[in-house]
Amino acid sequence: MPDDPASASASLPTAAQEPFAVVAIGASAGGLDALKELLTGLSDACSEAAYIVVMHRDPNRESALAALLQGMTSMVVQDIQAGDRLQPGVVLMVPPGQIATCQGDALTLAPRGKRPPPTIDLLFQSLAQSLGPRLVGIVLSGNGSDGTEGLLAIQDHGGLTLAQAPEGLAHPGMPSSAIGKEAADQVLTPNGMAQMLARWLEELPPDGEIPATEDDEAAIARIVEALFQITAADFSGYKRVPQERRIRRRQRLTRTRSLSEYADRVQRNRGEAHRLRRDLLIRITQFMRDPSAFGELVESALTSLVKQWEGPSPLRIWVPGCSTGEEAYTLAMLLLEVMREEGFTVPVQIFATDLDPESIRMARRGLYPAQIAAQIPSAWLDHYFVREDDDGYRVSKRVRECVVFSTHDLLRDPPFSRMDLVSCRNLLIYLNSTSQAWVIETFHYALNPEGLLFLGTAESVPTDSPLFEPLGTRARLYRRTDQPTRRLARRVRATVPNQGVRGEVGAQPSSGRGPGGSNRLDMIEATLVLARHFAPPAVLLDQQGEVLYFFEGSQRYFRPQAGPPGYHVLHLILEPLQPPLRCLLHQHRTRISERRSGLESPEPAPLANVRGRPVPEDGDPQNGAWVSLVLQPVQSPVGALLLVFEPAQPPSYDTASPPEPPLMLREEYGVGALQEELSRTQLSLNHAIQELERANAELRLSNEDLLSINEEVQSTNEELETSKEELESVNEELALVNSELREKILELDRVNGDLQNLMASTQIATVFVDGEGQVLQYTPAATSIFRLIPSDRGRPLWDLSHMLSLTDRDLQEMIQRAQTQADEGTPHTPYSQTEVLGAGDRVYMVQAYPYRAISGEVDGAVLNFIDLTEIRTLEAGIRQLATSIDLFPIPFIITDDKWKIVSWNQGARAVFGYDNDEIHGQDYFTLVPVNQRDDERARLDSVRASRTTLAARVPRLRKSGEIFPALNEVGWFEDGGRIFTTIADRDFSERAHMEERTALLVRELDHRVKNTLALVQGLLEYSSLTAGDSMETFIRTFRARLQALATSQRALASGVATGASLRELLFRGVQSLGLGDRVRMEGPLVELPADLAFPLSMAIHELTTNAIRHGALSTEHGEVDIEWQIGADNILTMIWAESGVPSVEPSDQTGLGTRLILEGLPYQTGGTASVQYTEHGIRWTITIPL
Amino acid sequence: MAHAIQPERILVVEDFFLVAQVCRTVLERRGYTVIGPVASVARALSILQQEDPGVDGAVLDISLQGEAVTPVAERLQTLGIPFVFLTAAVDLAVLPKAMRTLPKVEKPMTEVDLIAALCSIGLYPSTHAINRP
Repeated sequence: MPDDPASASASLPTAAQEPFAVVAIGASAGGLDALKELLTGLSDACSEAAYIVVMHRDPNRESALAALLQGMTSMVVQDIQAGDRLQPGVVLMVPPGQIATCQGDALTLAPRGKRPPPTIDLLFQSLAQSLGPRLVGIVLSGNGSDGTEGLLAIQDHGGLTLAQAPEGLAHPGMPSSAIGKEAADQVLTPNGMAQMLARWLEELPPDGEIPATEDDEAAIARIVEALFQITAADFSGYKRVPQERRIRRRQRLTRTRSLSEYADRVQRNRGEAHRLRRDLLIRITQFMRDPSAFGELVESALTSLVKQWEGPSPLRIWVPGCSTGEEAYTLAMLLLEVMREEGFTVPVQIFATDLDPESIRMARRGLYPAQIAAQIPSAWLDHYFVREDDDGYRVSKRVRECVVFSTHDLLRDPPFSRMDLVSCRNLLIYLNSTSQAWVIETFHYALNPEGLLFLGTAESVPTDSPLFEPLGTRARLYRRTDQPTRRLARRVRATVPNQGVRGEVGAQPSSGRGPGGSNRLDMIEATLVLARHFAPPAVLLDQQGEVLYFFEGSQRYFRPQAGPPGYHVLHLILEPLQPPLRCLLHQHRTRISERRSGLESPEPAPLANVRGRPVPEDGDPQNGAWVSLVLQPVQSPVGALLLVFEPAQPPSYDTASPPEPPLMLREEYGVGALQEELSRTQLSLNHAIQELERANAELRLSNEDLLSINEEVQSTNEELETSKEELESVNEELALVNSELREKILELDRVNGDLQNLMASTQIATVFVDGEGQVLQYTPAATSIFRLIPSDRGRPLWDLSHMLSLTDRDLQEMIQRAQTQADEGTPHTPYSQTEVLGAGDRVYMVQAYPYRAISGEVDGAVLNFIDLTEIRTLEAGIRQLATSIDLFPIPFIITDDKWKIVSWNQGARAVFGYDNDEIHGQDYFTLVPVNQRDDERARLDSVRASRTTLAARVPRLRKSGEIFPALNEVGWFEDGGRIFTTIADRDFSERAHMEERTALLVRELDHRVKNTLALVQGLLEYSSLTAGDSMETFIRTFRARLQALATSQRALASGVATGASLRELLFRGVQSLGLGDRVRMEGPLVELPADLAFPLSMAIHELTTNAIRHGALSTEHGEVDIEWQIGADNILTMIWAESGVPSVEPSDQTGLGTRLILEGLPYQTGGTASVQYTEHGIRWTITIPL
Repeated sequence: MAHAIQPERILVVEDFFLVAQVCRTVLERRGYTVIGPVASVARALSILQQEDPGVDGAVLDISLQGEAVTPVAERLQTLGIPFVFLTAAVDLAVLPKAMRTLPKVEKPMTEVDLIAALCSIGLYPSTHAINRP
C-alpha cells in the first residue's frame, strides 16, 4: 500500500508533453533471450512508449548488452546516464551495479550495495507511484522472486502487469513467484507480450485520469452492487478514486469500451466479478513495514502489555485486514522478542482477519519468498523462520502458533471483543469517512478499557473523537477512552441479522452508517434544512417520551429543571405546557394500547390540539403567546413521535369580557340558595380534591416504584443485549478457532501419514520406549533384532528375547542414561552408542537418543540399531589394501584434481624424505626441481587431459635439495566427481649412474681401440717404409712388435685402465723372451699413465729386440742391468745397460727400432733418449717427465 | 704451370709418433711440405705464434695426451688457416660444438681419406708430386 494513495496522480507529466506509456521490464538469468524475442516482436506502434529494462547483471563486467539489443529493434537502446528522462521510442538499460528509481519521469541512479537488493522491485515501485495507469510492468525469466512486489505495486496504481510463461524456462523463479502471488494480469510468451503491448498502448486513454461522467458514477455504483450480490464483498465504504482506478484497469484489461459496458460484464460474469474483487482488495504488505513505527509500538505498548499481564487469559490482539499475514507475524515476533528480553512468557493470541480467503490461505501457510531476508533482521530469520530449500522461509511453529487466521469482514461481521491491542495499519486510508468513523467505533467496542489502537502512518482517529486519545506522536498509537458504547451496540444489532436491510436511520440521523447510508443521510440533511426554514418548531421523541432531537426553534419551549438531568420531555418543557403535554402523552399511550388490542386502525394520525401558554422571556405569564401542541407519530421501526408547537389563539373565556351568565340563573334562583349550594359543593369539592390529592400522592409513589422497576428491567435488558453481543463475538471466535483446529488436524493427519510411511520404509531398526523402557513403537526392521510382535507394545524392552551381545542390564542402562543426560540439558545428539554383535556375527551400532515430547520434556528413549556388518567388512578390506599400498616398495603418491597431495606411501616417504604431515596438502610440484616446475606441470596437465598413462624419465627433488632422476608414471581415478591422480616416482639415480659409467667405458674402449688400430696402422706403414728385409723377416718383426703392443695393453688392462707399473712393463717385455735370469731390474715403484706406457713399452720392446739380436742377450753370458729412479723434478730416469756385448758398433741410426727409441719416445713423452757405446757394452739413457 | 706452384705447407699435430710419421710420409709423398710433426698443444701453438708461421694448412689430432686440441684449432681459425681433424670419432665430444662439423678424417685413416679431406679445404697436392711414382 502506498503511504499516500493520492500521490499516484500527483506527478503526471507536464502539460507541454504528450503523456506516453512506459514499459518497465525486469529480467535475470535466462532473460536475455526473452528480452530479444520481446523487442523483436514489438510493432512500430509500440515505439510510442518509453522502455526501461533492469536486469541482474554482473557489476564487474563491462557489458555490451545495449549494443547487443540495439540490433533487435529500431528504437534507440542505451544505458542510463545520470539525469536521463524517460522518452518515447527509447529503450533505457539500467547499468550493472546500479539501482534506478524514478521521480516523475526523471531517473535517479544509485550504486548498489554489497548485498544485491531487489532492483526490479525498487524500480517498479517508484515507477508505479509516478506513472500510475500509464505503466506496464513485465517480469521475464530469472531466479528468485524479485519483481513480484513491484508488479503488485503497479497493479495497485492501475498499471498492467505481465509475466513470462514459466513452462520450459530454465530459470522460472521470478515469473512463477509473480504468478503465485497473483501479481501478473497476463501470463504470456515474450512474443505474446509484444502483441498484448500493441493492443494495450492503442487503447491507452489520452491521460491517466478520466474525468468521471454521470454514467460512470452510475456504472461504478452498479459494479459495487454487483460485487456485493455475487461475491458478498462490500466495497461501498471504500474511497472512490483508488477504487475507480482499479476498476478502470480491469475494464481495459477486459477490453470493454466503457465503464458501463464493463458493469454489464461484471453483472453477467461471475469470474470477472471475482477477478475485480481480488484487484480491489489490497494485497501489498511486508514484514516490519515502517520499522520506526513498530519500534515505538514496542516501546510504548508491547513491553508494558507483556509486563502488566496478569493472566490467566492470553494477551489478545486483533489485526484486521491482515492480507497475507506479514503484519500479524511481525507482531507475534515483536512480542516474542519482548518476552525474550523480559525473560518470561505470556500467552498470546493474535486474531488476524481479512476479507479475502485466498490471502488468508497464504497467510496460514506462512511461507514467504527468500526476498524477505531484506526486510527482516537476520537474527530474526534464524530465530523465527525455517529455511525451506528453494521456496524461501517458513515462519517457525512458535510464531505460527501465536496467530489465528480467519476470513472476516470488518465492515459487516460482528467485531471481536476484549482485545488488548488492535493493529490496523494502512486500511483506513482506503475507506471513505463514514466507514472510517464506523470502523473506529468498532475498534472502540472491541477493545478493553485502556486498550490500544495502532494505525498506519497516514491514518488517524479524528482529533475531536471522544473514543480514543492519542498516545504517541509519530506512530499512530491511541488509547481507548471510557466512553459508553451503547449506541454502537444498538447499531450492530440492527445490521447483523438482516442482510437485506442495508443501512438504517438510527436514533441519531448523523450516525447513519455503512452501505447505502450515505444516500439516506443526504435526504435527512435536506429534510433538516427544510425543517429549519419552513417547519414549525418541533422535537422528536421516542416512545417513552425521551427527547431524541430538538428541531430548529423549539428551544424556547424548554428549560432545564432543577435536579438530576434527564431527557424526558416532561422534565424539560416549560411548566405551563406540562399539563397539556402530559394529557397528550396519555392520550397517545391510550391509543397505542387500543391499537394493540385492535380497537383502532393502525393508521397514525396527529393527536388533538391542546393549547398551553408558555412563559415568555419577560417572565410574565400573562404575556406569553399561546401555542397548540400537536403530537404526530412518525412511521419508523422505533416508533418515534414528533411534538410540534403551533401558534394558537388564546382561549375565548380568558378575554377581557367574560361570557354572559345564563339568564335563568340570574332571575329564578334565589341567590342565597345558590350561594349555599355553592359553598356545599365547594366543600365537597375540597374533600374530593383532598382525596384526589391523597390518591394522587399514592399513585405517584407507586408510579415511582414502577418507574424504578422499569428502569431496572431496562438496564437488565441492556445488559442482556450486551451479553448477547459478547456471545456473538465469542461465537465468532470459536468458529474461527474451530476452523484453525480443523486445519491443524488435517496437518496432523498428513504428518502422521508421513511418519507411518517413514517407519514402514526405513531400513534402520528403531525402537521407541517410554520412561519405563516399555516398547511404544518400532520399525519393521527392528523385528530382525527383537522378536517383536504388535502385542509386545507396552512390555519392557529387556523382557523381549534378542540376539545381541548386550545384557538386559546394558539395555536398561542405555535407556536410562539417554534420559538422564538429556535432562542435564545436553543438546540433541546421540547419547550413548556402542557396537554390539548380533545373530550371524552381524555388527550393530546401538544409539540411544532421549525421546522428547513436543513440550520439550524427556519421556523415554529412541533406540537405533544400525547394521554395520557390511561397512565393517568393507573397512577391513580397505585397511588391508591401504596397508599393502603403504608398504609397497614403489613410491606412490595420490593427488587431487588441483595436484595437492592427498596421501602417499612409505616408499615415497623414503625416496623424498618428507614426513607425512609435512607433505600432506602440499603441491605435488614441490617434489620437482624449481626450474622444471612449469614444464612438468604443463606436461602432467596435458597427460591427464588426454587420459593416457605415460612413463617418463624426469628429474625430482628430495627434501635434502638433491635432484635425482625418476621414472614417473601417472594413473587416474574418479571419486565423487573429482579426478584423482596416482603417481609413481621410482628412484633411478643408481641405475643412471651405472649407465653413465658404462657409457663412459664404452666410449673409452672405442677410443682406445681406434687409437690402437691407428697405432698398428702406423706401425705397419712405418715398417713397410723401412723395406729391405725379406717378407719373412718383416712378418716376424712386425708380429713381435704387435706382441709388445698387446703386452703393454695387457699391463694397462690389469692396472684397471688407469695406467701400468714400469716394473710390470719391463718384466712382461723380458719374460716374453724367457731370459728373465740374465736381466736385473732395480728401481722404485712407478705408475705410468696410459699415454706414457705405450711409447715406453714399445721402446722396451725395441731395446729387448736389439739386445737379443746384437747386444748382451745375443751371447751366452751377456747381461742387462736396468735401473730407474725418479728425480727431483718428477722426472723418471731409466738406464738400460748391457754388458758382455760381443761386438759393439753403433747401430743404424735410421733403423726402425732405433728411431722408435731415439725419436719416437721423446716425441711422445716430451723426454729424452740417448745411447752410449763402450767396449763391451751399450748404455741407453731415457728420461721421461711424469 | 704446375711446377711453379709452391707446395702447400701442412702442420701435423699428432701425439702418436708412429701415426705422425705415417702422416708425414703420406703428405710428403703427395708433394706437401710437412711442418712438425708436433705432439702437444704447446708445441703447436709455439709454431703458430710466430710472426710468420709459414703454415698453409694443418692436420690436427683431436686428443693430445689427454688434452684437447681446441686452442690450436682456435688459433688457426684466428689466422684464417684451414685445417682438418684426425679423429677416433668418440673423442669429438671434447671439441666445442661449433667445431664438431668441420672436415675430419677418421682413424685409422687411409691415404685417400687424408688427401681428399685436405683437397676439400682447398689444399691441393702439387702436380709434381702427384706425378711422382
